[in-house]
Amino acid sequence: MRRLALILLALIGPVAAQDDGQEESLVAALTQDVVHITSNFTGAEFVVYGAIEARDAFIGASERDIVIIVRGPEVPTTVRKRGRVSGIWLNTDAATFDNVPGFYYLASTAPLDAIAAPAVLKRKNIGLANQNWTGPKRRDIGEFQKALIRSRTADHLFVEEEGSVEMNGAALFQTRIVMPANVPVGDYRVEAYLFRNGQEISVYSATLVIDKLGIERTVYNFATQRSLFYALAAIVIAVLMGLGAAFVFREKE
Amino acid sequence: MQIYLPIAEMSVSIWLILAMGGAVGFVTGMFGVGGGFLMTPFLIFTGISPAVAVATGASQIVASSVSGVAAQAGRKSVDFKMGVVLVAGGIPGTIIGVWIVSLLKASGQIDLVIKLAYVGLLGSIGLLMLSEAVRTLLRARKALPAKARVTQHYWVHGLPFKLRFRVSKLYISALPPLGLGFLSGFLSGIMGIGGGFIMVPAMIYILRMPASAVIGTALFQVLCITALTTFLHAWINQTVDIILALILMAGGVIGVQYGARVGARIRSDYLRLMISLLIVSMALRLAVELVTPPADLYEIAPVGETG
Repeated sequence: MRRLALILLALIGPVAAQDDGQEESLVAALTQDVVHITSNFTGAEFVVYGAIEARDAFIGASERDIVIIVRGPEVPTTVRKRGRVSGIWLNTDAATFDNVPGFYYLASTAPLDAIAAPAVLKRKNIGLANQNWTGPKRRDIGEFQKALIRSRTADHLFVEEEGSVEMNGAALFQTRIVMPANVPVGDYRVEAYLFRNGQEISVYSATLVIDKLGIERTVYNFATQRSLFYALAAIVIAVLMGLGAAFVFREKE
Repeated sequence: MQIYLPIAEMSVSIWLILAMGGAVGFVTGMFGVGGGFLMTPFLIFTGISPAVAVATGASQIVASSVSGVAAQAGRKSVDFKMGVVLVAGGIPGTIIGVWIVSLLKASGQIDLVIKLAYVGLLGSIGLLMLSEAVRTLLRARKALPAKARVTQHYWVHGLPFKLRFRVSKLYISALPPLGLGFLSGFLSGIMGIGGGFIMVPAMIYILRMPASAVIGTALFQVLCITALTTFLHAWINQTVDIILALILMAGGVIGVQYGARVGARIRSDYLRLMISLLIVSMALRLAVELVTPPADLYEIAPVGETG
């Protein structure tokens, strides 16, 4: 479907473009729209690819930049701060942000500061340094946000790969997105931004679904939707495993 | 080989988890303690969230305890009557413990309380056991006969509601075992442990049970309490990861059999010295953790935990 749309857009695009050659847009697609988490899931890798729509893609190709952002489902996230109370380190402070994505991946054709001015990036929320999650109004909120980004980056859940979007010729682009095994499930948004001379001139959105499949889905549903039976099953399994082992080992004696 | 855990929502090495289950099972079989105080920190170390670690660890202790009880029951070393009295006290204790955990979670201090509980409890009981074990060993070296305990009378014998425990060769009040059961159930609910390491010395020193019946009976009590803990966590908190539990059990049930055999061959004095050293070192490690400045002052709370 997406490929068809791409072809269609490629056909329509040049017709719709204005004579001055300044009208540009982009389309993008993913090599997969759904990532299934099964028992051997160790992470996912897919490619976001697309094309620039322009009357003549070669005109001003060097002034163009592309930024691709993959964003996971947004959830309230609490950051705790530890302090020393009579020699012991304990949680003394906390701040909760309402809408932190569980995954954030940014890929671009060049370093962000070379693509657009800080004010532009800030307004568009592009880049980890330019996130404005809703949090409590307090003077040191920035420290909590920085700590959150630091921690998620260490877990490979927040990634900035500046310069990783490859151009194939003047119009085609692609980049590889890598997700670790601990990515949250849910609906993801993929956005491709086209910049020209520091201004965003086009954006294209796509969706990606990450979902558990097979035994992982069955177990998860059973545990959450039929938790009473799941609890009983867990105990029965444990008792049977124990009895089975005792039996096997007695036979050997 | 990596496997994805549906409830923990992460991918782990199957061999690492098998080895952990085996090691904890070995300790369980050897000393008659649940090994929960080892399992929970092990799992958290691999990156599994504390809530899932506590609940899943409990389900694994159920399996290794069943295996251990079955092995001990063959040797007629389980005092089921004593076990039932202990469990009767343990059930309300567990429920109150789990309830307190849910209160503490909301305040964000659950980690601190768990760690302080571990340090205080493991430290004091471990040191008590250690000094006792060392004294016994020194006495044995000097070849002095140990004093006979059977004729001693102290406060435990003055309490009402006396029951006869045939396997333990005891005629004592039901109140001390009920109280002990309550305490271990309470700690199980709060700390995610079976409470065996408290039960074993308490049964020896307070109830004065014969050493031959202590381990089997403690395993039986631990089995019932951890089954209840597993049930409550799976039902209310939905934090039992059955895939993780199955791998841990596979390692654990094998470990517990070997542990029981090795334990039967080692002199009980040395066994007590070893378990007390293990408990004291665990307490020390946690105490050091509490006073060492953290690498990062900030930390992301587990999903769903606020405050």
